[in-house]
Amino acid sequence: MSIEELIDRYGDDILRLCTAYLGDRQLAEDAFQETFTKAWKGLSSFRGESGERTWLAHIAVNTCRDLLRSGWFRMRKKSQPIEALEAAASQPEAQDAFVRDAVLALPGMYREVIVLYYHQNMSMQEIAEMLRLSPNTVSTRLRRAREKLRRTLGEEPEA
Amino acid sequence: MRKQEFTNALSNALTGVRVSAELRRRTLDASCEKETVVVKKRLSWAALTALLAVMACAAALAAASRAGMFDFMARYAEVPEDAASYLQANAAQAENELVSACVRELYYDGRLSRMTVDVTPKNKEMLLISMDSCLGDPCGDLYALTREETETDGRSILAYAQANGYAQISHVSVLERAEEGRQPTTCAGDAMLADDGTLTLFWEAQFQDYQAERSVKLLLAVTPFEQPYTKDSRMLQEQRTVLEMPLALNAANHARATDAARVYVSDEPMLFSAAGVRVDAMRVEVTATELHTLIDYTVIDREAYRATDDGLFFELIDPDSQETDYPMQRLKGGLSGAGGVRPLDETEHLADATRFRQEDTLALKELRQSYVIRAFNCWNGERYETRTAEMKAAE
Repeated sequence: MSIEELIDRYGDDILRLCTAYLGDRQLAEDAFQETFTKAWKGLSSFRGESGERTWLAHIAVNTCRDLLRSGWFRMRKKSQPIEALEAAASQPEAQDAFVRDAVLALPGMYREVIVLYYHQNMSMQEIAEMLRLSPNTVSTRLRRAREKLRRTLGEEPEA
Repeated sequence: MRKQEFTNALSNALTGVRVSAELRRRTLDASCEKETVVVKKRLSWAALTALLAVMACAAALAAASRAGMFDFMARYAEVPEDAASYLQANAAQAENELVSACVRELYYDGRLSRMTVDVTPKNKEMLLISMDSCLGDPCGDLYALTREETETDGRSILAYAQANGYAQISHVSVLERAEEGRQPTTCAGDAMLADDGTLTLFWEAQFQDYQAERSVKLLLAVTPFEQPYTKDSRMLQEQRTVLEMPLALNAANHARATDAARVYVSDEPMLFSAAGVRVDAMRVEVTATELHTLIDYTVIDREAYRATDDGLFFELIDPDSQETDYPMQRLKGGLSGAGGVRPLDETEHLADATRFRQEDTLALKELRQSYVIRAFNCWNGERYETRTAEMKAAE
């Protein structure tokens, strides 16, 4: 598979993952670019133990984590709110935008588990492996994240 | 809320997030960088002399409408009053069959290189665009700095090109590569179109290590868009040409000698027990346009440090600040606005390391005899201890 095919097939999904993870257009695009660059360089060593989508999501999550952890603060210039990414014709419904904003307002450690669990539909075991955390830690963070969401949304997402 | 409802709401709210043609192109560029066939055209001295004469005339005619480095930088940072005196003019020129290019302004302080590059199409019917621009984007962004109109021109770049008789549209991208040693870790750019069709690129690259002298190559890739033009026209990578401009960066050309030598240190250990670390040293390096700060720390309590989930950072705060928001209490950041944390031993992985260095920048006016350092967790905003570092001139 070529890099073009990878981007065309999974690009939107990975960009959404990075956006939900980082909450910033510029950072999300940086992470997207780095994800596919890493994927392209590592494609020959991809052993197919997981699906391509999971493999790319794994790279994207690690890239986003590195971006946040290493703290290359790019606070200036073209940093734009997520709304700027959305075509006028595809403005989300108010309730959906409310959910998204509540997720983006979560501290990073809670946001990442919510995004992976609900947006990427990963199991707690998969998240634990991806983030190199114990399943108990993932479970605890998910629980606390849901509690925080309940305070914002008035109701808690079902486990 | 049911799980599926929540998942759907989150997915729906993100459906507008799509990969733009520009992001796709940039990603392909970055991925295929090593496979690019570089078209090199080095100028002979005779050709260079002729080009310089032509460019000098052209510059005199068009300089008034071209953006300078500090026009770009003033958009997001406070520019020191005498900053312009540290710029090197006309540091390099080159041309190929499509464009001529000149590094009109250059700044280098040992860690940061910044430049403005004028790229002029040889065919006046060719419109050059750059950075994040696509044909469907508003054209007002193209010349916001070089014209006096206050109204934003909402027409698309494509409509602008058609209205102004441009028969060709090409994209210019920039890459800076070190000839040896480390490559820059952070790069940023911007672009403005002048009235005469010259595209002025602002480019900034940051290196992790200090080197008073460094040899780099600036690569300018010119890629035509596929015709017939639409707002989604793709770029014809196979028709890309690359102009290569070698640059010898020398910090001595840009910073006052006294500035370049001014380094302040604090080597009194400071304990941050709640975060499980000890700051071993702090260093402030004065450059012509900003201060570089380096904080070295060691993990002394693995359990407490692990609890920060790699979210530990230090912020330098104003002890007299009346602000109640923690981030607003920080000293003013430097022009480059970039920083980061990395293991002191670069062979170690971030997750396993025990000694780290946090780098950051401050505005020149923040040079102080002592700095108040506060540790915090970037994930949840929790603040840990606050300590004061007394600085002294490095020997």
